[in-house]
Amino acid sequence: MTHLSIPSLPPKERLILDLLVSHGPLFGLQLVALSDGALKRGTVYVTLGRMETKGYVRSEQEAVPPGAIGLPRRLYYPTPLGERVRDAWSHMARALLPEMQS
Amino acid sequence: MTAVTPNPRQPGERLVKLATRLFDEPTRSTFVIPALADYQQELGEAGASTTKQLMAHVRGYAAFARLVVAAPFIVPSAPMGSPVTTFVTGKYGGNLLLVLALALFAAIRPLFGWFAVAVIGLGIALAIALRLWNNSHPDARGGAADPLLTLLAVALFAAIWSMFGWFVLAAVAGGVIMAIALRRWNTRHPSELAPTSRKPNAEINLSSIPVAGDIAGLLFVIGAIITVLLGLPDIRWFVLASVVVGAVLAGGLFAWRSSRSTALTPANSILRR
Repeated sequence: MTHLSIPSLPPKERLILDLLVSHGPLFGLQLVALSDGALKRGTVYVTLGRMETKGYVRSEQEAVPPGAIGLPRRLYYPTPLGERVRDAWSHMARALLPEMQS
Repeated sequence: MTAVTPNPRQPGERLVKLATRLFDEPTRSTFVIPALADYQQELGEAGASTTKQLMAHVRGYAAFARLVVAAPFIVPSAPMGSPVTTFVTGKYGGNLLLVLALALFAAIRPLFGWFAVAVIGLGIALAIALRLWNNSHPDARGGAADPLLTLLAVALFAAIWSMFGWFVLAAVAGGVIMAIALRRWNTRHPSELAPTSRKPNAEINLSSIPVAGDIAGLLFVIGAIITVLLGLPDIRWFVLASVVVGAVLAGGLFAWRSSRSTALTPANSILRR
């Protein structure tokens, strides 16, 4: 039997998509702050990098104002694919909820 | 907004320099620099409060340390260019395994004497021969190595005959029975894992042997442990400790994997068959 390659969406990636969809574009540190401890500093970028590879999010470097000397941060946006995958997983979770609860 | 500080020496400058040594450019720009930018941002927001500054330093360094530990295992470009990732996953990792193997042989040398030296010599000769053969037959499948492996197994059993006597015959018979039982079980319960399209290499490489996490794999592990315990009763406590540590590690990996994947992916369905 051939298995379809369904895009996976682990809980952390789902949480990130939820936050990006509900709050708009966010920096990594803002995602950590909004996640109530579910996302950790440092490794959040590994998750975001993986999601970027999958095409769920895109990022752009913030514009550095003249005179600023800090390192530039990255701002993350949900992609249309990421939003569709999130919607599909939400539908599936709702459809399976009665069986999962029994 | 990016933090602006009057201090010409930026906080985290040393970490940036360290990151240059530890990570390749894609890893640095994608994972490390944003984390260090957060560190600088938090430090800028801490203002003059010493406590807040201290907490920002702790969080920043902790995030960097977590990245250093985690990146070699999960960054897609891990084997490329970074000393840390190369050490763990690249040829240095292989060299480390070689050193560990030699240390293991040195440790069992008193038990087996010159036999251990002969095994090392034969193993190296076989590895070189297989590599040369593989280089000259790049399109060949793994079957050509089978007679060599069988020959090696027979030579190994013949060499340890004098030390273990009838145990060798019992081990051979037990191994054959177990192989037949596993084959029959596997025929009746075919794996649901998608077949890989990768062509197997004609070389001895444990990572190329597909071992499914099912009852057959468990039987194989139990059989291997019993064989080692019967053959080397002196190391029974070491084996027992290894089993406990291995079980804990496996449980942790399973929990980690379960938390990252979904219940409906094919890779997890093998546990339910």
